[in-house]
Amino acid sequence: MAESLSGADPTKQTRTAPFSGVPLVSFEPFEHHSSPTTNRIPAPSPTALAIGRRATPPAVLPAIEEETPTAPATQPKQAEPTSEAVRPSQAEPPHLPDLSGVTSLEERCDKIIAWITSATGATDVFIADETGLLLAGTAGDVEARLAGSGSVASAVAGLAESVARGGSPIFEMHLGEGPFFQLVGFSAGAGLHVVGFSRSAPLTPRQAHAVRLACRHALGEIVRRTVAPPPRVPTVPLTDTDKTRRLLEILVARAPDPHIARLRVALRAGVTLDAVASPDQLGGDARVLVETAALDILGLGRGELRGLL
Amino acid sequence: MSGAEVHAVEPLGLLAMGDQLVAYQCHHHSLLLDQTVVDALGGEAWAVRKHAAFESARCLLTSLFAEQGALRAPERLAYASDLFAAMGQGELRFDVTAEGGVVRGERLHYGSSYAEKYGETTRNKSVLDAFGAGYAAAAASLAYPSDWGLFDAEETSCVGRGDDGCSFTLVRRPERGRRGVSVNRPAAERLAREIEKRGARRMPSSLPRRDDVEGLSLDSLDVKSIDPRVEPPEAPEPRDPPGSREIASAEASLTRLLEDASAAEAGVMRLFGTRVAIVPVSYVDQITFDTMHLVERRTPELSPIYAALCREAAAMGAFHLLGGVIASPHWTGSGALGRDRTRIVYELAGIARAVGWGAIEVSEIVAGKRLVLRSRTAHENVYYAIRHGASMRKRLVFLQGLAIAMMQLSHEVDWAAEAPIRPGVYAGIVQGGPHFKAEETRSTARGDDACEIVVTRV
Repeated sequence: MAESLSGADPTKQTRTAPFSGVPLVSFEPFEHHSSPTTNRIPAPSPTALAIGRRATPPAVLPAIEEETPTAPATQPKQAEPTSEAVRPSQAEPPHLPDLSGVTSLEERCDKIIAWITSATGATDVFIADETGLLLAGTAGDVEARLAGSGSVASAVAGLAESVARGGSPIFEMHLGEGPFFQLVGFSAGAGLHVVGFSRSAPLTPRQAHAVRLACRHALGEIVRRTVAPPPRVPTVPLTDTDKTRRLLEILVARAPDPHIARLRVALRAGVTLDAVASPDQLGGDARVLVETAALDILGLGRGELRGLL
Repeated sequence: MSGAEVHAVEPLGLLAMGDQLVAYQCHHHSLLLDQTVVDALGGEAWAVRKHAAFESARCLLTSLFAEQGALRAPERLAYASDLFAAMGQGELRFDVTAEGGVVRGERLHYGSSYAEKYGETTRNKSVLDAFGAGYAAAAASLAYPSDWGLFDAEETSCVGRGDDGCSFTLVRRPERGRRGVSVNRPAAERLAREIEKRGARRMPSSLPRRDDVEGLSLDSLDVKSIDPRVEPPEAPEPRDPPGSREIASAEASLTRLLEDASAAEAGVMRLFGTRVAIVPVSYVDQITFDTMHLVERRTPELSPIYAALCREAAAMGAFHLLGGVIASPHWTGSGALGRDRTRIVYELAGIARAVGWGAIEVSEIVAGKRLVLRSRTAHENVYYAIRHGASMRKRLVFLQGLAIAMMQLSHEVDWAAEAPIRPGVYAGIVQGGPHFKAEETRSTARGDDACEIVVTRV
């Protein structure tokens, strides 16, 4: 998805003052591609160099004009104040925070959230993992928003897998008609993470990618270090029977009153206890019924099945 | 209690309000039984439960309104609201006219209990207060009677689903309600006399075939299966069953405790570590047996699973309520001291009588190995006989669960512990699989003179 944006304009590579590899994108609504003055990139700093070492950013990300619903497409873009208008002093993207020597995951996340808030004017910024577990920030009505974000991330990861096995699951989306809730997915360490925020106008894909890269810098190394992924072994895809069996194991582990969980699944699904005990004997329809029954008992939707397994 | 009292139906071990049979149940039983009906029937379960609630509440309120004399519509609604709270079912606030309206619920037995017990661990997507819905509709229908139809209630928000409160919308439906045979006190007493007479006669050694009796009334069964020329044998010398004195003492003790119990919160009875409510027997048994019949007709292979879950609901409820009584500091029986596990069984039987579950007797007990319970009038066989007549199937799932819980309580609980029935104890007992199995060896529905459950160690 977003990779296609990254190497877009080779002509502008010559103007790149690399932020040590970290792409900087103006989040101002009044900047324009053709204005070299508004596309200034701050001078590199040692901090940024340290942070950007591992980045594989796009060669350059031009300043992108923010889409404002009121601006006619045919008219030349001007620096019109909008609801997202910021002070002149913020016309340049703020420097990335100095994360050198910061080893605490929470602290790194907090710093990068502060940077996102400052750079984009977003509110309610949070970072969560694929299961909806909050890593840092605030998400307003936390539970519902986090749970929904986790579901989206999980579903997108499933979709990415179905589109191309092993394909990148990074994504961005926004929700609503203003203010917008925006969710940007990024890979860090072994899993997919999301950064979410509210804004009166959504970030463009390139701007979102800049946020993604910033978050990846903040989390990537430390997540890799603290949550070391299991050693890569050739993965054998789970069969349908394996999935059902695994789901039933999870059910017994997590269900309320686990000693009757299998009885309840059998009754809800309309199959015998023997069939529940031997998922390999279940037909396709019966398997779906059993899985649905188990998910219902756990209070989960079908879309959450993949994240569960 | 709103001018309504809970009366003992002596000597049947049953309780009544007005002329309707009621029983105390704790939230563990209420939630699991409702959940089992939902598991069995899916989307139909709401209608089955609400219909049972409507029928039972209409019978109960009709009986009590008759005792109160003439009441105007607002007074009837106020009375119904007070009664609901006094039963420990929560609070209902009616904003209803003859055209319909809204009822708001607070601390309802099912929704609130679910939120307390499972709310933090499980997400529930459905509304839960079918009993509240049926009760509200029945009260409004009696307050504003009309030839045009009855009120129907839908729950629009429920704390058990994560909503802020519970509320119901009442609208009048043109259809007339179906009304089954009323399972009331006179009918129960009539049935008890009939069973008593049957016990005095000599029963044929072989039971009639199912085809001969299924669907017939008990009267028909008697005529068919008992030879009228056989004279009743000489009545044997009456002999008290084992533990009679302990059972009677425990029944009296708990009856006193229940009379003295007062609600700490409006509409909520928190007793013996559980949330307790007075529930019409017709509601509990109607949802149990209507669902059982539907499962038998549609998917007979699932009948044992359904029965097992109903039995588990009864066992879980009995374990917590009866065990909570004995663990209570107010309980003075020697069972509380953990000295005599046999005596605990007798006390449990007495407690079961006091909460309206039936005239439970202990026929035999072998410590930790075998228990034989006997009852001529438990609420479920009384209900089944009055509503459905005879049946050759083993249907006494509540008694089976009760018997298993009595064995668990008497032999698997550490009564010397500081809090013997603390959270997690039941889960610890059942997690390794069942330790006891219950067999229904006799039933009044099959023509026997009593119901008998034999529990043995697995």
